[in-house]
Amino acid sequence: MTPYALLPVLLVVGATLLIGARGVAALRSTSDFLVASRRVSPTLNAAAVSGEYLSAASFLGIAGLVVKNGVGALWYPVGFTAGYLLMLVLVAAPMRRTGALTVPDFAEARLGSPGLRKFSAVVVLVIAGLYLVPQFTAAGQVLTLVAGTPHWVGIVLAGAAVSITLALGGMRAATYVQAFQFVLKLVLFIVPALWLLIAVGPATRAEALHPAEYSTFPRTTEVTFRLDTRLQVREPLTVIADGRPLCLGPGEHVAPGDATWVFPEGAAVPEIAGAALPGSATWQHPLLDGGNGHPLLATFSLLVATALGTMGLPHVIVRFHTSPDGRAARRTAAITVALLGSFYVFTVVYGLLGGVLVPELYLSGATDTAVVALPGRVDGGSVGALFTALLTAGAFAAFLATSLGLLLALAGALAHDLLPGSLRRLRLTALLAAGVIVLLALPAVRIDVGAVVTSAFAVAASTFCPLLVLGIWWKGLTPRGAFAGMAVGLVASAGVMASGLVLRPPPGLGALLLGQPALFSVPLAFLTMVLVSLRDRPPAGAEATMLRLHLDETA
Amino acid sequence: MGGVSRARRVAVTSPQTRVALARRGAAGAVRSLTAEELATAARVRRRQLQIAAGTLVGAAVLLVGLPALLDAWTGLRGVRLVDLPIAWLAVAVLPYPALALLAWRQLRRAEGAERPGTDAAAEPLAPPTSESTTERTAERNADSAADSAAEPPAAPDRSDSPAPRP
Repeated sequence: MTPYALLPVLLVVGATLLIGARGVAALRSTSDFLVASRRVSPTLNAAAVSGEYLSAASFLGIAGLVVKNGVGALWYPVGFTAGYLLMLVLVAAPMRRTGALTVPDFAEARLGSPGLRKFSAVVVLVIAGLYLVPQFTAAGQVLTLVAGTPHWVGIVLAGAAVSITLALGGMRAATYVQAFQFVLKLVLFIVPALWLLIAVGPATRAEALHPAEYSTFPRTTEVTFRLDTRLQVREPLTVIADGRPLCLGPGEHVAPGDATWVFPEGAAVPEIAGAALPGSATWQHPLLDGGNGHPLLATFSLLVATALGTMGLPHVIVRFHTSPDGRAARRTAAITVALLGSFYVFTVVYGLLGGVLVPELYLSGATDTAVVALPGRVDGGSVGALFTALLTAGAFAAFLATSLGLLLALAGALAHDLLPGSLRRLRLTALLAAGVIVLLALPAVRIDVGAVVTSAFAVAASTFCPLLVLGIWWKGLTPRGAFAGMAVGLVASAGVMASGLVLRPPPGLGALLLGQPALFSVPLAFLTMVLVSLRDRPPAGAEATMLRLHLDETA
Repeated sequence: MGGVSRARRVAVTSPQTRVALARRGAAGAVRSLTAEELATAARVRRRQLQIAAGTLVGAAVLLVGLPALLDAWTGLRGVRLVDLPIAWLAVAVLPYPALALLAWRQLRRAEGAERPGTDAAAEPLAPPTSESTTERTAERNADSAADSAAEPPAAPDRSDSPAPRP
């Protein structure tokens, strides 16, 4: 495609900057910023929470995972939404009453331990890093798709866009910039979905509901492999590899990254370990299957991580602070559940149509581009190009909103909690952090956005979730118990996932537990926190500090 | 009174300031609660915990029960509703209204439990005869308050409560 496809990206960045700048001016002219923010209604704030929360993983990643792993990937958004229900039930109102802006703030306010605050800040860095790297990778992939540039250019462009927005001061934590982002993403997701549903015609709609296994190529298919890919070839096959014919016998073959292979019509589709052939029985099974043979356990582990991890995400908690009091924070969480549901209910459209219309992404590995690739497949003319542009803009808005929120949270943890005194250099810290994330994202080509984001949730669920839940509901929590529980949770989640990447266990239960440790790491963290606290003495006044969080401050 | 309805000016302390004050050991920065307030808070917390447990059970039925059902009930895979596979609808559509409903119910009950006068935040109606009756009374009152939140709050059914009528 041509570089003018980058136009929507520039428009989104420009609009964000404009609204950010105007928003800040408007806030200054009415009254003190804090008093203004105290009038933020729960509905507006819920839109802002959703705007910051819906990331590239939501906009692109889930549909891509459906193409690659099947209908079971639709449990991801269910967990993402359920996170706000648990937030509402367990933390929203009491958390707001502590006045804490971040989890490190909470740790210090509730347990009075500066050491715990610093450790929490380190955990914030881990979570924000795990969440940010896949956002950059996804944004890079989309830019690569629409502009036809090499992979690294896309990531560097994404990093540049974030840095420019950050440096020019757009996208401050102004509530209605985020609320605007939510409406923008909602419209840019739903309208193309409805258009796609109408434009594909009845035959494709029926095909999407009765998918046939993608076992043979229905037409001559060109596949550009994103990275080195191991293909299991069943029958002998001749492909055109970068212009030259290549004969493949039965067995395993490696297609090098960036190579373009043309598969002939009617040939059998090679299989890839860890992915399900689109339309196959495994693909149609409504449980998550990562190729480890334990779909129910994998689904449970995903739901534990996402539903319990949401409450610990650094860029989300700060938004609840704009609610005037605990009750408004609770209403905000409740409305957020409904708003997110109205967005996520459309992911199935992209997932199912992607499985039928762009199944070859299963081979190329660029499944995160499925959403953006669909309109061009349905309509080769200007209408298709228009909807591609709209979806690119939406994906980029999602990428920007989440990345900036996370970068600011990350910079805040560095400048405010870990190295106090350098608060003035907050923006510089954020720029440096963006640079580090770009460097981390460059080699991280092999990742699925949705899947890696879930590892950030797993770490949050294994560390901050027990801290918040026990800190709010149990007077017996001690700083030492909180520290021990979070340390065990961090090792059992981030440490175990890292060892899984190094060890590369064969598919099976072991690989599942190493890749998705939330199922055991979360209970382990809770248990450690309780047991260590029981052998310790809670700080003086702990009961009063905890009980205060349950009193309605407006009464 | 310039005729313009300006918002009343409010003195605010940023949370950072509050944290900073607390860190310096300025005990006066936050007023300590009275014994009465502490007792109220303890009651509210216990009631909120019961409400939370109810919602968590509902969430568990959805998030644990539904995947387990889809895994166990193989016969469901071929069933379709207007050509849409039921098993897909159960993942792609059903959870969202269910979650929103749970959230709405939780919100109503949690707010009811801290509304002064009609619920757990109030003094128990009966003098504590024994630990268990007091608890049951508080529970029942709170329940009726939460369940009748949509109805006029003046009509909680107390006929079965051991409280003496005025």
